[in-house]
Amino acid sequence: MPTPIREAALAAIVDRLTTELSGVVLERARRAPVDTDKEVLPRLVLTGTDWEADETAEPGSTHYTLGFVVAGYVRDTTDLGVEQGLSELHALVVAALAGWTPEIDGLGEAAEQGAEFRLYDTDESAKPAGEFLARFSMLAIAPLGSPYAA
Amino acid sequence: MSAFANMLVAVHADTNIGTAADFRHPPGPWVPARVVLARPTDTIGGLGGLGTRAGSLAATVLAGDIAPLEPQRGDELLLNGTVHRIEDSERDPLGLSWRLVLAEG
Repeated sequence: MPTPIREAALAAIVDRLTTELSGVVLERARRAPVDTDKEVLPRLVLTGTDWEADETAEPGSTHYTLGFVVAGYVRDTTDLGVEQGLSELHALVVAALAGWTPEIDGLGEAAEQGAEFRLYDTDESAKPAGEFLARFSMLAIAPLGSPYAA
Repeated sequence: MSAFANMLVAVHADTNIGTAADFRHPPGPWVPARVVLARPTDTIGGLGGLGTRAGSLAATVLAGDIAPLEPQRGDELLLNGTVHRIEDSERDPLGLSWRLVLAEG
């Protein structure tokens, strides 16, 4: 059974992050909240998001724009340590993904779209912790009506 | 004392509810006090992602125990041998107690 090109892209992104960010826990398709008190951090969670199709870009092909987000979670002993940890982890994610092209036919390079950062309020978390959500997109090209990896 | 003040004193003195602690405004001396602790764990809305779950730590201290000091960010509470930095403080409307939001390293 052929692999959907969306799945091929997300799997390739996981492989890339695993290779480039050794020592950071990586999860995919997680639905449960991250327990920043008890779980091993730093932690990344990859999730596929939007999927846009353009059938006008090239005859016989569809150009897809695959959106995905990488959420990063950090805990430290100080507020400043969390801020610095978030900056460092986010930079590692961007360095691993932005401009990178998977070695899979039909997939283009990943593009950084932006990010949001947040330190949890003291009323929410006694331990200094925070998260970022980095947004990316990737071009995928497949034959018209056949969104599968080659 | 008012009925509310009597109630607060009784609750903090109850060994099943209250616990001993020490408060200070650094570098001042430690002041003994009774506190009632709360450690709620809540889900925090995420940045469009999963959300997280974390626990916070708050202590209610009788205003009379630490008077004339008024707790503020940066003050410290010594609990079971661990010093907790006070991140936020809020006095109740009657001025009888303070709710202290504590940090854990």
